Amino acid sequence: MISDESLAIDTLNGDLSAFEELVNRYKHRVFSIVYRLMGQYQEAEDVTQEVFINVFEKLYQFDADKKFAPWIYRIASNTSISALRKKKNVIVVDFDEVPQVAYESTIAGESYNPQHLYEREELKGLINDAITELPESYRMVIILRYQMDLDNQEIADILDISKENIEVRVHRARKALRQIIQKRWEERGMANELPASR
Amino acid sequence: MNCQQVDEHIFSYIDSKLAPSLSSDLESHIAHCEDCRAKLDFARMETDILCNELFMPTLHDTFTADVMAAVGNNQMIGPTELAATRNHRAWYTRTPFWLVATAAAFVLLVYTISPDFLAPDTKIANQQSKDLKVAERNVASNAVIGGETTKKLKQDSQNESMQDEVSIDEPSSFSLPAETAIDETGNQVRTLAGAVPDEVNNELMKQRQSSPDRDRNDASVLKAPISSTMPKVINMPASFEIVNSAKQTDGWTFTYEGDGKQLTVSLASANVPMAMIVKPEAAATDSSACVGAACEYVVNKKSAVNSVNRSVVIDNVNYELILTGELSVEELQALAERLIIEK
Repeated sequence: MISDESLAIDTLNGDLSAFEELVNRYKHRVFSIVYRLMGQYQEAEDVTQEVFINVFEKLYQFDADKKFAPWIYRIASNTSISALRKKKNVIVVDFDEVPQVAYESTIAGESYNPQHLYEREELKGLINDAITELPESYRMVIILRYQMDLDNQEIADILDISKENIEVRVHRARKALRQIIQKRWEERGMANELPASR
Repeated sequence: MNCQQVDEHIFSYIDSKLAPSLSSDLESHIAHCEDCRAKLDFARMETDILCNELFMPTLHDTFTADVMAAVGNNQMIGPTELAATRNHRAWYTRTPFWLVATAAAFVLLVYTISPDFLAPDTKIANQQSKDLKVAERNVASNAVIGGETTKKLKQDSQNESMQDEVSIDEPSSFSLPAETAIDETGNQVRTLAGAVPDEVNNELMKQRQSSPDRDRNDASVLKAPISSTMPKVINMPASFEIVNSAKQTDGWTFTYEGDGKQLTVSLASANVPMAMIVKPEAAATDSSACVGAACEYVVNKKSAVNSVNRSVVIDNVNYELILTGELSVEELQALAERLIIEK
């Protein structure tokens, strides 16, 4: 398979089909970042399109000796944050406006008891909501670590912070996420105490 | 390791980012602590959900086609053309960094001390113009018989000199040259977004005179919610009002609105190649092609006179001015030639 970096060079040499391949390879991953940051489907789709137009326009700045993925994620992050600042309102995830592609649960075949299963589903909903309440910097590091599965150096390059600070930020982001989850868990009056609160 | 320490390291442990010795300690503790074991199981479940089960809608099927259409239909100068400029490396990329940084720091220092330094011709020209006007007045006053008239003309001459002094220190913000601002029938025409009529300029001058921040020569700065750590864009047309300013990862962005259009002024540390106008090729000859679409103009550091005024060195990083907005390339270029970035 042709590498992303080679496709970028081909695009620079005028091959639009190479750019199309890059769009196909990255559209879902870019959309994941943008959607988590923006919180609304239509806006996220618009911003994702803006990201790829920015990528096309700035491709001459890409250093083909480096990896393409962190570079495009950085553009996705900057474009989303810029769009958020223009928007300046509260992020509300409107599930009604989203195409009905539901959760793809990976636990269907697992042998959890009903109570456990119920709590896990509750937790899943809570985490989805709680992420949108995190500050941008925490949300971003969670997305890059857990959804994009990037290593610390790649995350550091995208966020423009030192590699050493990534672990600290992830830890703080997880703790902040946990606090929100715990609060919502208690508000819903769940039967069992959250294990983390013991 | 105690329970509190487990709390501190639990996420790094699950993510396999914990040092082996600490991992062993944590595992030893968990082996005999039921609470911590429950916490670990819960954190693992959280992590599993974060990795695999977050709600994620899918993009529409037409997304790729939409992007490709947008890329094609905008008639942008794409990466192909831009790549051609890549081999043409700018002088500052071939010159040792320390030399560029030192030179830039020197110029900024001198400019900070004496703004006139970078525009000596303007000062001399203004001075010559002032002297000429005074001389003309004196000739005229000599030709007039009658003390009152002579006195009045002398007062006019002094007033003219004072006004000239103001124009030297505070160059008129944004009126266009007369030949572009007035058409053949004598009507004022708008050839530049942000060009303002004389009465607006006069009002602006009054504001400056009464403002405690009168050293700034621009109304937008008076209103700008810009933090003290940011560079400042001065000489922005008064018809454009700053609506947002933000620190970005690689620079700063200021958003202006005016005349029904939006303009973004960015200072970016990106390695911008020299000499380019990015955005519709057609717009270079047909300004209407760019109106309503996003246009971008990257200031060419090398070609313009006093272009150093439009870049700023902060912590040894050279930031370049990028203008984007719903303006034609010509409008952006005209604006770029007037803007000054100050830190």
